[in-house]
Amino acid sequence: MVERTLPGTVLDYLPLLIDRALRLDTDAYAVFQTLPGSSWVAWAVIIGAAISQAAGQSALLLLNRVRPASFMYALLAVATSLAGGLMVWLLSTWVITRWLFGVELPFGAVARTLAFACLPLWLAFLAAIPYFGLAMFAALAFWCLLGVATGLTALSGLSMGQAIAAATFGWLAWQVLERTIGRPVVAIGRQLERRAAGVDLRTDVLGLAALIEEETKQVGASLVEAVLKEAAPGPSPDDPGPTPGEPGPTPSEPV
Amino acid sequence: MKPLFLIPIVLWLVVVLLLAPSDALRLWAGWFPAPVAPTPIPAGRYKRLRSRSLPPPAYYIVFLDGISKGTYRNLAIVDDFLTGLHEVLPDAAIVSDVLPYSVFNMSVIDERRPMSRFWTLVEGYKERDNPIGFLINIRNFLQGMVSADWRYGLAYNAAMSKLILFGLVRHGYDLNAPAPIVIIGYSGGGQVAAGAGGLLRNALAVPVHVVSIAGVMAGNAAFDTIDSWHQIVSNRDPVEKLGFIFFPMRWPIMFFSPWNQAKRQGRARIVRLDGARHDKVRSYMDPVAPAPGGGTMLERTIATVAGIIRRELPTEAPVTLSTRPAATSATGTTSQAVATTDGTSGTAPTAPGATEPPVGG
Repeated sequence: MVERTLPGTVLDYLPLLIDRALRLDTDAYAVFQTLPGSSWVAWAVIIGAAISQAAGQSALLLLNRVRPASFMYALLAVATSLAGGLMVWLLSTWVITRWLFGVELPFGAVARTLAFACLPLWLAFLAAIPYFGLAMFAALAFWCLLGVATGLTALSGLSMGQAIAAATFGWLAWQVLERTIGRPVVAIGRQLERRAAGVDLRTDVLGLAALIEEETKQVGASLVEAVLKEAAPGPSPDDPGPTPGEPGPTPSEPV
Repeated sequence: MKPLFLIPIVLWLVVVLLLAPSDALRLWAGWFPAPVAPTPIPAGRYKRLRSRSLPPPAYYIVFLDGISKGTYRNLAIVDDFLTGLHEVLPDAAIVSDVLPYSVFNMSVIDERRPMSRFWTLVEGYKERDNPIGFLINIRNFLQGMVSADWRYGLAYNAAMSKLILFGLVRHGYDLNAPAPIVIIGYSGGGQVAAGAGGLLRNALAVPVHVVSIAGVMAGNAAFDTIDSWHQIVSNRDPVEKLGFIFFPMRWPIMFFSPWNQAKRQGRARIVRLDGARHDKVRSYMDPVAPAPGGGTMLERTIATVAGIIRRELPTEAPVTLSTRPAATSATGTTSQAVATTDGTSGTAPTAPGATEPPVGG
């Protein structure tokens, strides 16, 4: 068991703390926020998580037809937006913990602890894996949620169930905020993304679904035209052309 | 001892998985300097089955092979299947020069590929039945996953629908008077058939039917548009069942999934060819192994596929059966009524032992 008062800085214990935090060990979170330098590590975790998540969405930038020159800017804009989102989630979780469960906690300690709990999202780039990527991301997000709940438990003495409820309600509050009083901020964020990417980026589930529906119709409407435009005139060299009699030999490719 | 040797393998796999959609997405995003027309088939590597001197075909059949296909060259059993099918369906033109796992219709050994030397080596192993040759299957499986992914699928399937349309035009398809299309997807080709077939249906506004021979597909949105889907399955084929296991859209509990809706509407049907394995010996296309009920596996599959196509696309064209392969007469297959899930029936030559239950995986 990790002692709650330790000499040295957070860097002295980082591998151990990361290992324990990923195993959802309450002590790791309790100790982490007391150590000098934990704020820097918390920032690094948030930024790393956001960059990884943005990398996981990088393929979606291509689906949005972002140009090569804008790609890195768009990726940076998406990462900034995701980091902002994570911080709003942590803030709303802190607020929910106060309001719903009456637990008074210093914001700095909560922010450091909960940010550290986002460590699993460093693997969020795996969301880019075809087909199974989204399931992987869902698992990582759930892992992160459990980490946040474990961190809250370590700080506040809430039960695990209460802590999960606080983190979940915190997430819901963030979603509601985005769609209500937070809309101007979201609009500014979108505008920045658009300027960076050069296109109206749609990377969220609903936006992406709408994009795919529109583009599917567009493909149907333009496919024949595209083929007519690109098809090379005349027969290809392999084409035997009109030949009398029986069909030619079967497809073959000599090695 | 910790299995440290697994670390590079896992890292390699992650990198390969992450890069799998890159070709399709870069093509979609227009990152290539000019519109990319499909790679022309190298001279001497493909010849059409149907002479251009014959009357225009009543419909076109596109064959999309399984995930072992890396080059234009077909396996001998696939050649046998296509030749046999063409002889039973002379009113069709068969297109089999589309590589279902390359958005550029580019063979893996094509010298323009950065890793062509590696794939040439792997292809050599594959010909010697060395397990290393299975890397091509893995590569192609990942492309199938891209096709099945709801985020990336459109980019991949749009490219494949374009390639198929190019292939059709190469074989004389008239875009001003488009003929119906049948896509035969074998194994992983079933997923590509689903993805591209739906888009082709929308683009051409002609009937698009799919015959999936042991197809492993996701059962997603394309099933809303495809006119008919026949899923040929076997009790001895575990690979086909993987599609049912891995893709939740195929689970019966997903009541409103496009696949389940298509089944309820009678557009998606299961055809059983029991006794057939997925590939190699005793597979659906084995020209030697006897099929339950008489004839060979190959003959039974040809007769079943031809029966499905005739039922979906009845034509006035006379059917001339040649002496090879004896897919219908010599195997004892007969022209018989095929029961369907919607209560209708059609006349089609079907092989003995081919059954079409109302529901299935």
